[in-house]
Amino acid sequence: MSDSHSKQNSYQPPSGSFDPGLANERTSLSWRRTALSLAAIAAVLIRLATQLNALALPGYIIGGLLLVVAGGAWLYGVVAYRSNIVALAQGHPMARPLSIKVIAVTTTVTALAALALSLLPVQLV
Amino acid sequence: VTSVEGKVMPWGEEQSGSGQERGSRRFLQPKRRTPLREVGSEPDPRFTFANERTFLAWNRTALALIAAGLAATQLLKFGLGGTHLVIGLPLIILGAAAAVTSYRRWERNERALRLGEPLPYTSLPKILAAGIGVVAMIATIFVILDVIVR
Repeated sequence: MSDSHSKQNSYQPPSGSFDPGLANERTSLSWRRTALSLAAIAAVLIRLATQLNALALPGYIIGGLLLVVAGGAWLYGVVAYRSNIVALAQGHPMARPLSIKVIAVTTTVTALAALALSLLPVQLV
Repeated sequence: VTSVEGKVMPWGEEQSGSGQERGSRRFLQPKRRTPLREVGSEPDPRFTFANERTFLAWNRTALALIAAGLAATQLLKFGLGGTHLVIGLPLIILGAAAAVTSYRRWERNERALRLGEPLPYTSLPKILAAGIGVVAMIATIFVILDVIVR
């Protein structure tokens, strides 16, 4: 993109694109927020795992898996945004149950890990 | 008086006919089992996007509840024993409830959108609001007791 282009402000959305209200963009940002939430709780779990001698390994594994899913959710937010632009223009279906399922399972596993960690007779600090 | 053909009652022929068809279809093949893509028709993409965002928001809420509960159980220290669990465990359990039911709620919403039906009712917001309210009240009592005892 040259300077002359940006000065002219000549951007035209692709014809046939359909995103009034920027639903696609807001959904993409929602995926990224979710990715950040997952990464934050992964950091908490890994930090707690460093203080649990016997149970450090499961803590690291679950925390690491959460980090991987967080990265995946971020990438999904980026990639799905692009593919949705095409899909919207061509009238393809929008629902993607697999990505939804992955997040639901990950959050559930996180909840179970937190529950297990809390019921252990170990308290930090 | 014979009923005139075409005179449709509130529960008229057409309506009851389609209802019956639907009922038998439900009986033969439970509604829940039919794949999402085969139910109804593709809804307005904005609705699907909104449903997806709502799902993600519920999961972020679940993660926030889990993180808060984890922080309470691991880091909280009152003069009284076991109080960290009384505050932390309900939060984690609420987070788990939101997480476990999140896919089902997304799926039911998507189904309703595809069929043009009203969105199904969920009592989770009520449970969540009540749960957080109770935990907040208990936490307040603990804080006050902690100050008094010291």
